[in-house]
Amino acid sequence: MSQTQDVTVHGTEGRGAREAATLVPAVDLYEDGAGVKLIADMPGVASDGLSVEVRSRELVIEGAVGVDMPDDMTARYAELRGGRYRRVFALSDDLDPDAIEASLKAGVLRVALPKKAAFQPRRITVESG
Amino acid sequence: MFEDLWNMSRPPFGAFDRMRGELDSAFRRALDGGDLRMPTADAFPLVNVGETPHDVRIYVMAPGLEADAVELELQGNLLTLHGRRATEADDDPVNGDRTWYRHERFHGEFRRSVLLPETIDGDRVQARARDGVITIVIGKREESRPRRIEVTAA
Repeated sequence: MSQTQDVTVHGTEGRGAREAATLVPAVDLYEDGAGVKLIADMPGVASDGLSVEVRSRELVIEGAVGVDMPDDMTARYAELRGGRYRRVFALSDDLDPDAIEASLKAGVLRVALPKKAAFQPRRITVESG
Repeated sequence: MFEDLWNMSRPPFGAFDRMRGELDSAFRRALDGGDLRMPTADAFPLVNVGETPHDVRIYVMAPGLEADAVELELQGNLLTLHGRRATEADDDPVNGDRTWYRHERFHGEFRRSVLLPETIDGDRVQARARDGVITIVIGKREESRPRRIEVTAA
């Protein structure tokens, strides 16, 4: 949603309002033989502001936007309003949470969730007889 | 708009869909009422513009794009962003069949323009890319900067 609005961002007051809004990051999510791969857009997030957590059956990705903005700046036009990203995904039993791998580069988070060994696809040979 | 709800000659679900459609178009009209270059919600990249007494700052949310992946062009006070974001999934070796659950991220070529305040000085532009955000700082023209006016007692 885009709006044009003159909003004065003063010190902590404006920053507080900005940080309170949570953004839902756009994701690509797919699965192949090896497991599930998640790619999330979180521009402005550096590794010190990133959190990737696996709780029982849930994957939670969170990131704090760390873009420096001067205190005396007035917002003229804001399409992205919010100070943090957050999204939760339900994990199924066939994924191995201990083998999760995550990397962050240029504001893009990549998470790989391999399948447990028992759930890897196995080719079944059909014997003819 | 509400009169239409009483038209029961159409199936009830159709009436709700039409009301939703009318609300959607009214909403869209409100959003489109601004500058024709203002994007819809699915534009890429998203842009924020701020202003200080001395400069105009543009924040371009371009995740996955390095500094050389976006072309910036300034014509007067019109800033144009142009570039291409490839599908990262293509880099991943395919292990068997791939099932897609979500495909929300933008891929492909993008080009959008943003109208900036006329107070900017096109010769004083600085752009920096970090963590998927390109910060562009453009200084304001000397005569546009705030200046103190002395009030003398008569």
